[in-house]
Amino acid sequence: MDTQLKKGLIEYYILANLKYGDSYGYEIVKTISAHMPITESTLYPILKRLESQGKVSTFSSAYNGRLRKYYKLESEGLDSIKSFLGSWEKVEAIHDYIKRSVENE
Amino acid sequence: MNRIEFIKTLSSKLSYVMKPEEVRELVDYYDEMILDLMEEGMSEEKAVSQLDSPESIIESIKGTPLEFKFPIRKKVSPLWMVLLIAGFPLWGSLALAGIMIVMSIYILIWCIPFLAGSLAFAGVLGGLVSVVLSPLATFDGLHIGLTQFGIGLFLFGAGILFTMLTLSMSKTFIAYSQSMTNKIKKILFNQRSVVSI
Repeated sequence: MDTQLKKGLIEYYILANLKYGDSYGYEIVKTISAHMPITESTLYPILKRLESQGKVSTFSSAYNGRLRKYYKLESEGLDSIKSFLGSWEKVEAIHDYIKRSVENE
Repeated sequence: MNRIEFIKTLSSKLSYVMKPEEVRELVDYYDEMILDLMEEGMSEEKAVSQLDSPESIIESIKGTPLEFKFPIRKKVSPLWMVLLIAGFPLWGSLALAGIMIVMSIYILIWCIPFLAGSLAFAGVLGGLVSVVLSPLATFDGLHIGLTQFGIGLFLFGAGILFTMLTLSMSKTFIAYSQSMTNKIKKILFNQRSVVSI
């Protein structure tokens, strides 16, 4: 998949992932990797940005004698998912337009 | 590379480009990754090798158009320089006045434990001397000697109480001064420019 497109999608993927429940770095990487390859170094800046935008919040929780940082979906994040889905029609229209350009050859 | 080496390399390299708390956050993130990978049954070396190298992590951070705060030096334009130099008599004295106000606040605050300390010292020393020398005062009459002994004991006791008070107060005041100094430092030096690449 195109890297730019991937970057845009990962953000919503993470938000959707957190909608199912709080999660931590490694688990998020694993979940995303099922659909598109991603490295931790790619994930970190995105998580950091989502956090600074208030779409997710973080908390630390003890696990196996160490602290693990968990990410939690905030209402701004949920709004963000909804607005992404809301703009899907436009994305589809663009997709169709691009598709036609090849079909008419 | 093992986990500790990885973390050491990463944090020392990051310290040039990020604030300490951001370095800590990032290092914690990668440390957590390593530990999680190890929990899945990977060896320490294998887990570290799964991650990007510290060099490429730093490259990926530099290249990301994000709100990472790099310590970018602000360029001072010549006009500003001229204004700064020409305006020194004005802002210099204002700054000096500001420093003096802060200094006097510190001095004023520390007067309280200093006063308690002085009372403690005077009480303990005066009381001790007065008690020790009270036998000499009995030459003027037993009642005078006894009175001096009693007052001496009272002073000594008060002195000890004041010593305790000074000690406990000093602790609070030291903590207070530290937090105030930190606040001032933050206000003065923590204005860093934010840059998006």
